[in-house]
Amino acid sequence: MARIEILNPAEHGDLRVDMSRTVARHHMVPVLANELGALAVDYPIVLTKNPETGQFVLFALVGLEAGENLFLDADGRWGEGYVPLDIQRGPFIAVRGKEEGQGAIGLDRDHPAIGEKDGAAIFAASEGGPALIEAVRPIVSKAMSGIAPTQKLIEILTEHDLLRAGQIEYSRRDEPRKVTGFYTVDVQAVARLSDAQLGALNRQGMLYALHLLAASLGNVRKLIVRV
Amino acid sequence: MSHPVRKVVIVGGGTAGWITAGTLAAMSRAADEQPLQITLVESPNVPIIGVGEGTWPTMRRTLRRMGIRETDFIRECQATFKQGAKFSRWVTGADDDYYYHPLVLPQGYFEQNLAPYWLANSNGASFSQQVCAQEDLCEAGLAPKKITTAEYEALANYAYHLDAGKFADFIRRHCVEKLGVEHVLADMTGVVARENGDIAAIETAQAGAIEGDLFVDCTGMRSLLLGGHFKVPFKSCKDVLFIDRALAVQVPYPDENAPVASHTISTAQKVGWIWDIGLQNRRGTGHVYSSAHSTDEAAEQRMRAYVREIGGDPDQLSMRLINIEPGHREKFWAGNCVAVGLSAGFLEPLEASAILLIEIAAQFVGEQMPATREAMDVVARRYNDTFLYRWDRIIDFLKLHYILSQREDDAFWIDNRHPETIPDSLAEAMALWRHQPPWHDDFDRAVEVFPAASYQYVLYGMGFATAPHPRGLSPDVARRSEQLLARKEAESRALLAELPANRELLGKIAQYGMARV
Repeated sequence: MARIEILNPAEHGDLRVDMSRTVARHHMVPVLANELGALAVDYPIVLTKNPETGQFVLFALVGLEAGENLFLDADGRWGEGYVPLDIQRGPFIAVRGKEEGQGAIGLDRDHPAIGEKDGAAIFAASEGGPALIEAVRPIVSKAMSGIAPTQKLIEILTEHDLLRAGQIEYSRRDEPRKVTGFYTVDVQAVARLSDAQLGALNRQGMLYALHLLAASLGNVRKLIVRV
Repeated sequence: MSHPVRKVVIVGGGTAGWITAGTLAAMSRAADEQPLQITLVESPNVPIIGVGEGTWPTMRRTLRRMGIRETDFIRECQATFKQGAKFSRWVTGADDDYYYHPLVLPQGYFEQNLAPYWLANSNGASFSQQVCAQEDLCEAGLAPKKITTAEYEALANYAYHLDAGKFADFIRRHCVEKLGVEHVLADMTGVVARENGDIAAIETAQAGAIEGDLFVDCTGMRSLLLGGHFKVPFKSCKDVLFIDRALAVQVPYPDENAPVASHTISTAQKVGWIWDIGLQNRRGTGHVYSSAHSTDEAAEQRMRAYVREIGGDPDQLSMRLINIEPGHREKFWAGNCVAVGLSAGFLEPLEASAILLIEIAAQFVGEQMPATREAMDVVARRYNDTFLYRWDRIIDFLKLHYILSQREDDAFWIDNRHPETIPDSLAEAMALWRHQPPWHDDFDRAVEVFPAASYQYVLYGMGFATAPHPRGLSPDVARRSEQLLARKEAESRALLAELPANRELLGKIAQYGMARV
């Protein structure tokens, strides 16, 4: 479990954060509805179920087996392609502030990017640039504002019964492999919605999101060639 | 001139009425350009019986066909998952005497009969425990699926326990709101007959005459149309199945997080047996017995003792006594009227056949819905053949539980084994099974109610001995049998590790719901 503290100079002024070490080695990265446009040109976007609640969660596939990220370069950095907000934000996360209705930036103290030697100080300005906190603030803010539309999108997908179990078959070192346990948008089910439903989805900006999800599945091929 | 069937009138609104309405409406809407007009007439003054609270796995298909979300059903009907039945104290009456009739078929059921291998090598191990994983799951109190499993899908085959009163109300709302069923609250006062004896209309006190092309009698034990109007006689089977009384009582859990059994528990008594069905909010229990063998007072004492045993206080609970006439009508479809539910007949709830019979009746009528009145007599004859066969097989199967018991503690058990009380068809099958185990060919209908697997579970669960086969088992059969038993062990281990407790899953469904995929 992450250990989250509300960020403040008194407690965290001495910490340093190496933002190049933010990449966790997972084959699925949680993503948000307000970054779909950037994601959809690089990665297949799918849904899986939270094993504890059965609720759907939106993910970008960056690998085809546990622990595999096919987009990392030799140094373990995100080599090419859009970097999802969940990676960009590093150890920083939006939390509820001390006062009602107020937001604040939190820090995950157990995040591997945090140390006392390498990286940049959080609050002090570095040579020729603003403090790390200034660079992080808009990312955290964007991640925060993506939560509600992501929930809305998932609600639409389940309410209109638009998801189907997906499956990827490929070969690794000439061995046939199968990836299951994820769900994708059924475009035919989208097409069967009534004009009124489609109109409402379009006005909510969600119809485009559904098509981005469907189109992103073409990126499965890009994953397979990288294996 | 032919007379098309366009309007179906269902009389009676309990479990039978609403399942029939929903099934016929859903099937017709899927198949017909001009769907059947379906009207259900229900008395505002007659309460439903509502003791049938256990289903078969068929209920998943029935609900899905009606377009019902499983999440809604679980949440609104206090429903829980049922993975079969545990029969306690049926064989010897000892405290540790039990066996299971699970819903999962024996491993490799369609490729290999495991019974011969088990018979030769069991060394006293339980048949149901060795050939399928479900007994292990039930004993561990686990659910048959996970919160990530889609609606109606299973990791271990399952049925439901449900609150019959809530269930009828739940399906009614779905039928009226989603499937276009017309609901009329009125008391039936009479029948308007045609010259050929058919029902032209029923007369009601509140809504006048209601006409129809096909009438479905769901009026319960009173059987107002089939028994009343068509005078189809009732055929008692009390000479085979003695039970004629039920004493029902609802027992609350000690606290709201108490475990929920994921199987029906049937515990044999000195006379008769007690059912125990765990819903989300209470246990539905009841004692069925034979009035020829026990007084009502003695039965009440046994019921009170059981309630105390499971942690309830009988002084705080009210008991409901119901008279049962075991048996069925001589036929079920007469003229333009078919009886579904208690109006067709009733048997003790030993294998949860009441709701099952409603489902398969509604499905038959829906699938073979006559196009015209002229086609109806042929459909009716086939229906009667099929269902007389099914009732006979159910009676045989229920009787099987009694003739295999070795209990001697009351004349009830001894009388039950008297050859004169055993139907010829069952006696003949038993003679065969003494020499070879039940297998697919013993059951010749396309849609059998109980498969050979069920007979195997009960026969070998109750210690029946099929003689060793004189020609033995080939090495090939022995090897394949061993592989299947090993596969079952691996499946058991995997499921025991990943499945949640039944109560835990029900809590998650209440909180998060299940997905359709």
